[in-house]
Parts: sequence; C-alpha cells; structure tokens
Amino acid sequence: MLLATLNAQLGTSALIIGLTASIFGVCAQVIGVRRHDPKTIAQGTRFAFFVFGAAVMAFAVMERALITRDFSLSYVQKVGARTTPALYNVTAIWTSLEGSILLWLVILGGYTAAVAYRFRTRRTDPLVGWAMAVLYIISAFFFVLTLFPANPFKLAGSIKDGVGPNPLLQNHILVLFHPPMLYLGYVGMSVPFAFAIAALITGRVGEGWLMETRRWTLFAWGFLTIGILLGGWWSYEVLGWGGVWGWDPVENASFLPWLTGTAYIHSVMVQERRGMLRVWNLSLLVATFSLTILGTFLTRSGVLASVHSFSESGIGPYLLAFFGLVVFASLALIAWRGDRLRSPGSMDSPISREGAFLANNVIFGLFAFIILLGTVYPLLVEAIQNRKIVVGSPYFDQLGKPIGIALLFMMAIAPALPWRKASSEVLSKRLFWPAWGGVVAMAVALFVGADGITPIIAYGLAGFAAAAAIRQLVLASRRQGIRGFLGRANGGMIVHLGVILVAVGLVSSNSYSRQQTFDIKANSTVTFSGHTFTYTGIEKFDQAQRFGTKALISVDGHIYAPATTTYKSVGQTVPTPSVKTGLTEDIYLVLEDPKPASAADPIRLTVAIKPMIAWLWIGGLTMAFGTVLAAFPGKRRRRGTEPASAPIVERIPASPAEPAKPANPVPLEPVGADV
Amino acid sequence: MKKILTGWPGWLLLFAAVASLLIISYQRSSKPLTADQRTQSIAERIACPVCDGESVAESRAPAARDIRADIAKYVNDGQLSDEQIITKIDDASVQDLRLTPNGSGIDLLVWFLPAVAFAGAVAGLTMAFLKWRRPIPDHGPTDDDREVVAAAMRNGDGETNDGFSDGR
Amino acid sequence: MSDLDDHFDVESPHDLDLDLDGAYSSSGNTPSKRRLAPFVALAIAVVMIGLFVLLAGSKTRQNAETSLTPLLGKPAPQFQSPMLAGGTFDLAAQRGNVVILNFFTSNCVPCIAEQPELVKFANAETVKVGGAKLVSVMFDDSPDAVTKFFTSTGGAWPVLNDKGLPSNYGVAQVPETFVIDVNGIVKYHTISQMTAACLSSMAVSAQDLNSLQFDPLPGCGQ
Repeated sequence: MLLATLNAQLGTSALIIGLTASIFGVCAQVIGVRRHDPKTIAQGTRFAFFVFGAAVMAFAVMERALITRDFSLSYVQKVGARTTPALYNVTAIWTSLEGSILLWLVILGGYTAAVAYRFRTRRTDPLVGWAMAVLYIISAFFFVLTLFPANPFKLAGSIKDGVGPNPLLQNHILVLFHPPMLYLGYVGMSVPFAFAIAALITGRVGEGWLMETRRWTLFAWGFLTIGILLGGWWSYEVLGWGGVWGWDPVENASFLPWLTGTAYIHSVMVQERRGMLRVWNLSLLVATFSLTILGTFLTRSGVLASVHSFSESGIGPYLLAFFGLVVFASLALIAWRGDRLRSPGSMDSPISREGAFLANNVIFGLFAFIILLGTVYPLLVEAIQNRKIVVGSPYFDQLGKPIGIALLFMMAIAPALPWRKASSEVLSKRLFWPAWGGVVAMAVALFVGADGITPIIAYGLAGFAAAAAIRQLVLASRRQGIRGFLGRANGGMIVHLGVILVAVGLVSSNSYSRQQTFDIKANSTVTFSGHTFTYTGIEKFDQAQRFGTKALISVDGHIYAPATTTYKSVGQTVPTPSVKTGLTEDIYLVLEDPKPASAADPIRLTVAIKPMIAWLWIGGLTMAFGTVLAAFPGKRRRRGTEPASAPIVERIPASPAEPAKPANPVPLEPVGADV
Repeated sequence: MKKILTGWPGWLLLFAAVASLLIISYQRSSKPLTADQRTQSIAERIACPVCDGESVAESRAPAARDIRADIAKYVNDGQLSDEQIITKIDDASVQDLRLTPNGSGIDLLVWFLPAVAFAGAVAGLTMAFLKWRRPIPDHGPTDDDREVVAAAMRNGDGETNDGFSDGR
Repeated sequence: MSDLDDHFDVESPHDLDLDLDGAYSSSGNTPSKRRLAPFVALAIAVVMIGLFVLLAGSKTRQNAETSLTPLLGKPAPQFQSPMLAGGTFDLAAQRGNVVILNFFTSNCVPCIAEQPELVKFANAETVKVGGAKLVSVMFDDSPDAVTKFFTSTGGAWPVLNDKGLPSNYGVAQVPETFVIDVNGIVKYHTISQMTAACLSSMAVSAQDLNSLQFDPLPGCGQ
C-alpha cells in the first residue's frame, strides 16, 4: 500500500518543501535587506535553489507517475491512459490544469534560481534583495495553488485506467513544444516585474534596474513570441478549419502580455536614452505581468467559453485575488513613488524617434485595450442585462486591421527618425528609397494577381517597412561589419523583418484563401485552383488508443492522406488535416464526415488553398533569431555612466555642500546621434 | 542628378505611382464575390450554437455544418442580403449567434469605448507635447532633491542603502 | 551630416555586470509641485476595481458534463419528427408523460457503453403505468447503422431521424440526455453516460405534477 501512495507522498512533500522554501525566502530577504544583514540575505538567496529543486522534483514525480501509470493519483486518472503512446503520455502532464501549474512552477523556480545565481555577487544590493523577495512571493502563491485548489497529487479511487489526454492534445508533435515555450515567455515576465517592484520599493528608479533586466525581458519576450506562433501552428495543423488564429479567449490571453511587453521593449529605449517615461515603463511591466495572471484566470476559471478550456476548477478565486493583489500593490507603489519618478526631460518634437516610440505605445496599448474589452465584454453584458452575447473574430478582425496597418506604417518610418527632432530634409532623404520599396511591393503584389485596397496598402507598407529595416542593417554592417547585425537597434531590425513576414503571411492567407468541398468517387479526379486531386483509396488503422480512416489523395501526383481519427476512451472523433506546404501556398486537405466505409465509397473532401502560410513560420523563426542578435551587446562595452542614458546622474554634484542643480531642461546631447 | 531624383520631383513621382497602383487595385477589387466566398464570409460572422467560441466557419460540429448548408442555400437563392441571412439564422435559434455585437443599446459600447480610448490617447499625447513645448521654469532644487542627494552621498556606493533612507 | 549617423544607436552602455548606477535615486524634479501620479493611479484603480468586481461576480460555467443549456428550466422546443420505424413522434402529444431525450450515434464509444443501461431503463419503464418515455435521436448517423445497432443491443424504443433536432436542442457531443417533465419543461441535461438507476430516479422526480417551479433537478452524483 505504501508503494501505491509513494508518488502522492513524494509529490506532496516536494510541494510543501517548495512552499516552505518560498516563505522562508521572502522572510530572509525582507529581514536581511531591512537590517543590512548580509548573512541573512545570503541565506535567503540560497532558498531559490530549494524552490527550483522542489518544483523539479514535484514535476519529476508526476512524470514518473504518468510513465508508470500510477492510477492512484486522480490527475493520472484524468490525463493518463494505458494506451496513450509514450510521447503523448509524457506531454500529458501539461494537458490539464494541475499539471500545467507544475510546469509553471518548474519554470518560475528556474527563473528564480537563475536570478539568484546571476546576481550572486550583488545579493546584498537591496534592489536584488527585493526582487528576490517578489519572486519568492510569486512562487509561494503558485505552490499554494498546487497544494490546495489544484493539487495534482490528490489520491483517488481504485480506477485502473484513465481516458488519456484530450484527443486534440495527442494528435500532433507540437504539444511537446508549444506549452513549454509559451510558459517560458509567460513566466519569464515575472523577472522584470520583480525588478520593477524592487525599484519602486527602494526608490532607486534610475536606469540601473532596466539594465539588469533588459536581457531577461528580451528572453521572455522571444519565447512568448515563439510560443504564440507555435500555438497558431498547432491550431492550423490539428483543428482542421485551416486557420491559425481565432481570437479565442485563450489566444487573447497569451497575446495581451505580448502586446504590453512589446510596447515596453520599445518605450524602455526612450527611458534609457533620455531618462523619460519611467512611470509608464513601470506600468507596462506591471500590466504585462498582471495580464499573465488575468489571462490564466480568464481561461482557467471557466468564466469564459473557449475551445481551449481543457480544464476548469476552483482555482478562479485564488487567481483573481492574486491579480487584485498584484494590481493594487503596484498601483499603490506607483502612486507613492510616482511623482518622484517624474523625469525632468522633455520631448522636443513629435516627429522624432521618441515620438515614434510614444505613438507605437499608444497603438499597442489601444490594441491591448480592445482585445481585453472584447474578451470580457460578454461578462459585462451578462452582469448588467443577464443576456448572453458573443464577441467573436469579426469584431477583433475589424478593429485589428487598422491597427495592424498603423503598426506597419510606424515600423516603416520609425527607423528613419532621428532622436529629438527630425528635419524634413533628413526625413526625405532617409525615407525616399524605403518608400520606393513599398511601391515595388505593391506593384509585385498586383502583378501576381492580388486585389483589394486593404491588402495592397498592407503589402505596400510591409515593403516600405522591410526596406527601412534592410536599409538600417546595410548601413550598420557597412560601418561595423558583422557587428552591424548585433545589438538592439540592429537585431531589432531583423525582428522587424520577421514581423513583416508574419504580417504578409497573415494578410495573404486571410485575404486570398479559397476553399471548396467535393464529393469524390473512388479513382476519380477533381480540379481546384489549378491543382488536381485524385482519390486513390483508403487506409484504415486501428491502434490501441484510436482507430480511423485515411483517404489517400494524389495532389498533382504526390500522395497526401487526410484522416479522421476516433479516440476510443472518449469516443471523440477529430480530423487530421494533411497539408502540402509550399513557399507561396499551402494545400490543406480535410476529410469530412461521413467517412467512407470501404474504398468503393465516395469521400467528402474539403480542399483549401492558403497562400503564404509558411511565411508565418519563417517570420517566427526570423523574429527568434533577431531577438537573439538583439540580446548581444551592440557596440563595444563601455564602462561607467554615459550621459546619454543617465543624464540625471550626471547632474548630481560631487559634494553635498553644493546642492543639486535642477536638471537641465534641455538634456545633454545624446551620444551618437547628430541632430 | 541624384539630388533631383530624391528631391520633390522624386516624391511626386512616388505619390503618383502609389496613387495609380491603388486605383488599379480598387478597380480589381470591385469583382463580386463568388457564392462560396460569400457563404464563407457569412459563416465567419455566425457563432456555432453548440461550440465554445467557434464560428460556424471554423467548427466541425454537425450543427455548424447544417447552418453552413442553410447559408449556402440562402446564398444560392440570391434573395437575401448578408445581413438578412444572418438575422434569419440568428432568429431561428434560442441563442444569440451573432459574433459581432449589434450596434444598439449596451452592445454599442463595445464599439464606442475603443473610439473613446483612441481619442483619449491622442488628446493625452497632444497635451504632453504641448507641455513639453513650453520651457520649464527654473525653480531651483526642491527639498526633496536635497534630501535625495544627501541620502545618496551618505550611502555613496549604494551597498548599504536599505531602500527607505530616501523615501518619505 | 552623414546619413549614417543615426543608425548607430548607442546601445545602452551598461551591461549586466557593470557597476550599478541605480544607487542614485533620481529626484522628482518636477517643474510644478502637482502630485499627478496618485490621481492617475486612482483613476486606473477605479477601472481595475470595476473589472475585479465584474470578474468576481461572473458565474463560473459548469464543467462540460452538466453544462448548462439555455433550455434548462424552459419549455422544451416542440417537434414532430419522423421515427425510424415509420410514423411521426410529436412531443406535444406527450404532455403528461416524462420524456427522456437521448442523442446518440451508433459508433460513439460512450454511447455504445451507455446502450445496455438505456435498455435496462426502458424495459423497467414500459412495465410501469405512466412510465417515462425514452426517445433516442440520431445524431449525424445513417439509418442502416442505427437499425443494426438497435437490433444487436435489443433496444425497442422510438428512434427519431431528424437532422434539425440536434441543432434545436444545441447538441454538441453525444451522448447527450435531456429530461423533460410532465409539464414539458427541460429539467435536466447532461453530456455524459447515464445509468439506468440515475434515469429512474430522474423519471420519478420529473413525474411530480405539483412541481411547478422551473428548478433543474440535481444530478445523480455518480
């Protein structure tokens, strides 16, 4: 009997160790920092490794329970089955709520330990101390979740088999990559948030903490980007409707922190360069982190209907309370420190790099607002009028289109804008050739048969923006050689190119997809959009966990096999589309019901031609690559404080006898930008 | 030569090119939709009655398939407008199947609030720039400043700064 | 001035391991002494409190198995549908009887598992006076397969072949069961396998002529 409950006991103890370590960590950090006691702080930092170790152990125990099919655990009964293939049995851990919180904990523990290790020589710095304390509070909260409302190690009755993961989650290899990537991004936003809070508490809102977290933010942002795109890819390959994005609450929940995070990555440059926008940047970080919590609440508490709500539980009130705590504590801190955060600088002209970043922030902020509004709007109407309404993709598409166009426009002109002020002469010179790039893109699009005003404008702006990015890369590499691709400004341009590829892919696939459903008799051929589809036969398969039928379709001579698959334990039938991927268009085949009983029966086949879908994945890869480049230091490392990034510091006189002069209303000349 | 090209004549040429390309694309886009495209575009605007958050176009549920077939029938009849078809299907169901809220009553807010937010943001930015445009009067150091500097000097290296010495 | 100038944006000179400059607290050297931040924070706080209240007050949707249908507690949508064996079935004619509406397909695994329980229940009810009427509705299936399925499992109750019925009742997944009481009100709905025992207890509760409230029945707590 002991053996049967071993996993439960091991797992629960790991969680209790983790919670204890987190609580001790908070106490040690706070006491140590307040009393200037390096010993206590050193102790406090060490707890990070306990937190990480405990989370890893809990995760490993759960994996062990899944692999050994230990059905004494209710979670294994929920997501495990004797017939699930090994790979999907391993990924089953994050297919439901309790296990995904374990994944969250492992990643959060990893980040906490990484921060503790990275800043080990500076742990007595109050900024680092408070940041660690915040991270411990967050992990304590998640340990509480796993111990109470979402305990994965609960014991259950004597069932000897389960139903396995949701069929949609054991149908494609992407379930192995998408959740960890997304969580690396989602959870990674805790680190800059922790430093932001620490900066507010210590009052050290100089640019120091930004430097500390710059790469952490980029890292998290990069993974969030990849995670979101992999989610789109999964939906494209698995769901069978041929789309990558459906504006579902779960998708919106991952997109919201991405939007505010992207806004932050841009506007933080204004702060580093000019010392301005401090409150704004802090707020963006707070918003990013609290949106990850809010998103988890919206999708996990069951208040919203979503295709993706694979699991629901009593976790809602906890998440909502934590969201409230985060928001109100941060707001109180900002209100308390806010006026001291105000920077003395001023912007000379809206037509400048910093003006462009501000506009970018407004657009991203507005986009985030619209998505949040649309997502929670049905709740509002239900609360007021007790009437159910749906706010779906047409709403988001309609409002998203002008925003996308505006962002492409900003991306086209911003790289050409100098800091502080742009003369029309400089602008005209810098924008001229990129603008022709846009004209060429429009002409090419029209030449290959595109139509419609909106897509053509989008292509034009995409070409313009791409040319602007390439122009900067060419100029930079001409001067600096290979280093011209490194650093935020230049790596960022490669990220822009990735965004443009994604945008072009989205515009093309949304505007020019065509599809038709055919009833095809055995060995006959249909033609659609210049391709021939011959139905050559069926192939039935019957495996331990599922059975199904594949239809063999010869597409222009190559065999593709869309299938329908029925999962035995839940009796659910899911489509398995077959996709012929190409650079200019994908051919997407879905076998519809009724499925053929024998090769003599006709089949019903939906054929969709999806232009340029592959550009999304290539664009995603480019964005990831650009993020890595952007994380490298761009120019030679320089020591000390540069006036460009820390103008205020420069103004503090050396002796207290001579009081500080007010910061110069016209800040110092930024380095490197001749205006 | 290059100067002339990139000067105003060049830009004029560019705008002319853009304008003519846009005119071409406008003329091309006035083609009517095919029946399939029209069915698809209507299906994208109707919620599948039995699914969680999917449109009729996305869902593979039989109910969604039936509604798609209904839409195709109405489209082929050619009697009703898109909006009429949606109304007809929406009325036939006990649930609200419109994926975009109607422009009436409280539902209007979902369209109105983004516009308000946009206007607010633009107004805020304009005000900020107007404020920045004004020269900042020189008040001399405030008490706060002195306090901060004193604190900074006391704990020169920041190592012992407990984070509250310069707070209120 | 060179065209190149601006393109070499100064990367921030600080690297992670360089000395910290954050030790200096920047002064809030604002030209005016207006304290704006608390007000902005207050405004945001008000919006957030609104959001918070909204979310805290919103009803949690039940899990799929007992998922609420808009029909619960309302009159069941009327229908006159063709039966597989011939003839039509009119729901209105069943007023005064408890009707159990079971949506199924012959190849869905849980439906196959449920069928013996339904057979047991149906056999028990036919013996009773005024027993509940069990009616199955084909969901996306072929008449041949269903006839074969019913012959092999020994089911003898009416099976309806009406393509529109599942959409009218908002059926997404099978097996799905609705319990309609003597007054024609939908009293219970589930998307999961039912047992004969559970159905019997439901039938008894739905029999109660005096229950004029539209309260749904509790589940069987399996």
